[in-house]
Amino acid sequence: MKNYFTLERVTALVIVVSCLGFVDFAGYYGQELIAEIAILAIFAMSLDLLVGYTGLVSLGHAAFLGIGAYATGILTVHMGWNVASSMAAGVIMAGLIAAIIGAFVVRLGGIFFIMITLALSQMFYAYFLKNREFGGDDGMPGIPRLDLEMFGLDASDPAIFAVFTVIVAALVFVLLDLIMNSPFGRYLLAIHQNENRMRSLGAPIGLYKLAIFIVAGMVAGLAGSMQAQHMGFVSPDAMFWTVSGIVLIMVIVGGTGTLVGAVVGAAVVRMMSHELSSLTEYWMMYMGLFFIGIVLFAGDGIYGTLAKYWHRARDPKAPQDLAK
Amino acid sequence: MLKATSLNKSFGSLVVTDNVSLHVPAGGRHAVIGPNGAGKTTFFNLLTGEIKANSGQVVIDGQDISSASPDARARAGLGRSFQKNNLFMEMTVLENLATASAVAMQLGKIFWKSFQTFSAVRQAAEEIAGLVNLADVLKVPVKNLSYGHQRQLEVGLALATRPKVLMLDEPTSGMSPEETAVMLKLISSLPRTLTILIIEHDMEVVFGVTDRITVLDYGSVLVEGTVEEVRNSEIVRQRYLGEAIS
Repeated sequence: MKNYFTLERVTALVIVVSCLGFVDFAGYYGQELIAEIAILAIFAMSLDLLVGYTGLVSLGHAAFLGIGAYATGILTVHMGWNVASSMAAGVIMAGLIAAIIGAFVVRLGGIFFIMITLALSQMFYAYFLKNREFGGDDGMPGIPRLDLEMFGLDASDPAIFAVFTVIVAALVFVLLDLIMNSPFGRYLLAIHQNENRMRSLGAPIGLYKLAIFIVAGMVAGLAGSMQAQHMGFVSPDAMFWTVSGIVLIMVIVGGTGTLVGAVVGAAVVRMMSHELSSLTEYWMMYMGLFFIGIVLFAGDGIYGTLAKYWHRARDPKAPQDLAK
Repeated sequence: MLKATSLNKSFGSLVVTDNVSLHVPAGGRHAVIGPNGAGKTTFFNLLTGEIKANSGQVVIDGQDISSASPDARARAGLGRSFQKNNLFMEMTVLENLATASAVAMQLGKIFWKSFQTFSAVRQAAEEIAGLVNLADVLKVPVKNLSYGHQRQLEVGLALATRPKVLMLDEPTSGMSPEETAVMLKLISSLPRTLTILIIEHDMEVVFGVTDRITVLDYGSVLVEGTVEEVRNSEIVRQRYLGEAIS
């Protein structure tokens, strides 16, 4: 009955192991890319909690990425905090702001939820764009990385930092996988499928939506803090709405409703945009065509579609069992 | 067990529920009947809170739930089924019932333990599946179920909330005579201690499973009484039953 080795967990393990194995001979560029993808993967997983699991399509998720990044930047650069506590503060700050925003927006559905999250995130963008103290549109440089000296490691080494980001992403996966397989996670899936019935069964659905909105905000805040450390820099661009849009595309390309799907989407979109942009000026057009192709011909995303064929091939008659 | 007093609801100048009262004692079986558009489902929605009443009071088991939200009323003991199937279509039968049972047990705050490890949930779900004759199709995705089976699951989800009052909104709607017979048997087989309020068009079902009937017409109570009283009521015959049973 209990199956610990789900396709998703095995896939995640394979991805983590191959990333760690690849770091050693990836070279500077490859290591930077791995770190970047690992951070984007955390960010995409956090959005998938809303979009794929709960059915809340947010177009303002970058606000929480930016809050985590700015909290880490401001606390380390301006206030002299150490990086570890500024990371924790970034996560908590993102959670607090998600709680305030969530209290208003989780009542809304569909297009209204999309528009309000978009508008609110643009307000944060506008604030940091105009605020001279935090660098305005120039951004804020000089953000340090987490001190790994107690492990005898130097985080400024790109290989070490790449490994660090992959491990954090793996831990985030384990934590979110645990949460989404719990009764709480089951409530969210059920709310996604039939909110009205969940309510009449006796579940206070607003509270559950708010809870996952806060969790998603906190994880996005963590991704933001990691991104600020990675680049040593944060600017308002981190919370611009196109960032929210791209991470949404990542989730859809990889496959909504699975954590690994979000990870796959983050990796594919990030690598494609880099490779294509070095080949042609019109790379965004090709990205657009690719996205349209995915939506039209593989609506479950790359991972979702492959997983479907895998399950079908293994057991053609078995109905797809979500509970497993 | 369930007591509604002077419920009123109007949409603009259109009065859809006009001063409707109803009292179902513990273990009572009460039907609400009436022609199409009489306001039966609206009355149900007023009881469950899906529509807010303009005035009136709803009390369940001594607890006033007149201003409570739909989910709070469900937790207070009102479990309802819907006239149109309202299921978790992407889940299997077992997953549907397990989800409803988890809600009944209020497990939603637990986020650190795998849902699969809650054997009490599975047990409860299988028990309900037995009650609604779905034990053979536990692993079947709901979207692949026959319509009749889906209707049975509709009742099963309501039962899984372990209600004090089970509210069934036309459980046989759209069913073939064979499926209706199965549903009739199913409802009659439910534990006698369970209080049931049922909206139904099929008079065979109404006369078969209930002991009191409220006849609604144009949003207000036309007649209320025992099955015999309603069956023999001249005004009900004229207005409604004449066409339904003749």
